[in-house]
Amino acid sequence: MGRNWKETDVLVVDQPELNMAERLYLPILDGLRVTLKHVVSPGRRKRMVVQYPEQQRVLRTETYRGVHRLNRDEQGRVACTGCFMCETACPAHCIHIEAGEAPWPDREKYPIKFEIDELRCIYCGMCEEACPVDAIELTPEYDMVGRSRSEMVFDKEKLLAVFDATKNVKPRKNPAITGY
Amino acid sequence: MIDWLKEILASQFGLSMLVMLLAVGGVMGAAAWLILFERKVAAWTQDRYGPNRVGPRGLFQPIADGLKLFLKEDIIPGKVDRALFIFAPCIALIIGMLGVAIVPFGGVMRWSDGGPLLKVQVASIDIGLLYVVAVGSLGVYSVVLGGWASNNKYATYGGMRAAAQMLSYEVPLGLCLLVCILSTGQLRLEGMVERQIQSCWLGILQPLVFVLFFTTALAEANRAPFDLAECEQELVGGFHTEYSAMKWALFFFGEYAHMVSTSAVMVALFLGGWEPIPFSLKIGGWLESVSPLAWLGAMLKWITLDPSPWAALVRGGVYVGKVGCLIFCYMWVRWTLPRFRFDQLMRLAWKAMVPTGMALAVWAGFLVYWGRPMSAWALAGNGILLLLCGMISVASGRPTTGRQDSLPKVEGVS
Repeated sequence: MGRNWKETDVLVVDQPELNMAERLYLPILDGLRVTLKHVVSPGRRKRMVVQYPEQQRVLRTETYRGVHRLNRDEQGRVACTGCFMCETACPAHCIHIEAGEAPWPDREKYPIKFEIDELRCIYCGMCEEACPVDAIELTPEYDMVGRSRSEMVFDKEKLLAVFDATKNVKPRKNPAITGY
Repeated sequence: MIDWLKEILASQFGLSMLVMLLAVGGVMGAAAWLILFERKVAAWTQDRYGPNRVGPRGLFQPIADGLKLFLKEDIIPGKVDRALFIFAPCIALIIGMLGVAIVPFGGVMRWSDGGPLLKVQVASIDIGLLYVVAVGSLGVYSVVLGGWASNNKYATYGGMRAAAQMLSYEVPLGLCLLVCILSTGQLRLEGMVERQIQSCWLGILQPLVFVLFFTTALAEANRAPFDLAECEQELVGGFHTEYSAMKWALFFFGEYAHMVSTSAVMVALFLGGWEPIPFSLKIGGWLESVSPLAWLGAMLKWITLDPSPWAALVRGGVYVGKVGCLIFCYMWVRWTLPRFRFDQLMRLAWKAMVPTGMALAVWAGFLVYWGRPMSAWALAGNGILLLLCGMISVASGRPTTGRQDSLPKVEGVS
């Protein structure tokens, strides 16, 4: 091991020779000039910073990955078919589904319970990609609040309510698939 | 009662008391608002706004911070040396403020014509600069005590680093002070300021000494780029790892008070103390001969020399303004430069700053022997010395860090 290295395997990188000005720490002045330029130019600050609660960034509604929602179909029923694809895909194990027999003739199963622990979720969007019927989607909403951990576990009703609140901002991507 | 107060105030003792009250209150308040200013400067260099929520433009932030720090739980870990653990932050603040005692804020003044001339400073002592050295080197005491008493290895490392750093930088600091003493022939700070008013500011005559002194002052105050005692990447929080709430804040107050006092000393040593601009007497005299600007010249002379209380007040304002500029420089440097590695720190002190300081002291001594310590020759000597330093450092080749030597040899390379 290591005994049959060739000279070409070793890349020797010499430290650059410093010239006289660099030896005397004079480039520090250059750095000081740069920072001073930033200190005295308030216009640049105005461009860079968003004063959050008053100003808000324009969100990319199509791609932003905020809090989840459970979509409703045209008849207002939950679109989910209880297939467990999202729960399986979830890398943070934050989705918990209990499926039961569907009361409707167009599918076999539907979720009796559907819970997402929003504190555990890493907002990767894998559930959305895994869903075969586009029933679960991530919305541009990011400012949700809770007073306890259990309050941040969103159940089926809450997730459907998120859909009702955001369907105008972000309409359902592909309702045709779930026409059953 | 009023007469008695007047009598007290008219004496040097009364004036010293007044200056002391102002200085203590000023430094305490300044330390709180300097922390805000530091955060603002940090934000500005990074194109941010900084704290701007509490009060107009965030001006009441220190009050909110103070309230928070007082109300926080003050944890004293189980196995610390209790007495020293509580004592260390107090020392940090006390020593930081002690240096202000000899700062000559406003030269001399008298309350009324014919009254006795009084010095606008807390204590005018013969050994002024020795006091600065003595108090300044105590600064590391709180850091070492805090680190050691914490009974935590990272904190102890931080304290030890601070001690080594302080010992090393004390040497060039002393040499710089020696140059100042030789050039002005004075140990009293107000005497040095007066010598500078007569001829020229030392910061102009000896810029290299000024830069060296500023660098050592950064190191003495444990400020970036020499803040190895608290570098969080290596030592968690350094010497104040175990501190919380108001004790932790006292360390901060101490640091900022230290900045104020070292800046005040620097203003007296290098920036002509209360003199508004360099050569103000000569420029003032010249301006008085130019008819439209005569009032400006008269004002320059009035500020620099007049013994009336109002002129002393303006002088104090000039002094505080200069201190503020230097403190901004401290912050400016902090938010520009990355931290030194410890071996680089030691190399800079022992192999660069000590020899340079020695050469400067020798040159200053030669100028004294020659009889012109405050002449342009000092400036010329500084320039030549800087050039020599550069040539020697280039000729001596790449610095070995010790790390490169200790790297394991690559085995079996053919």
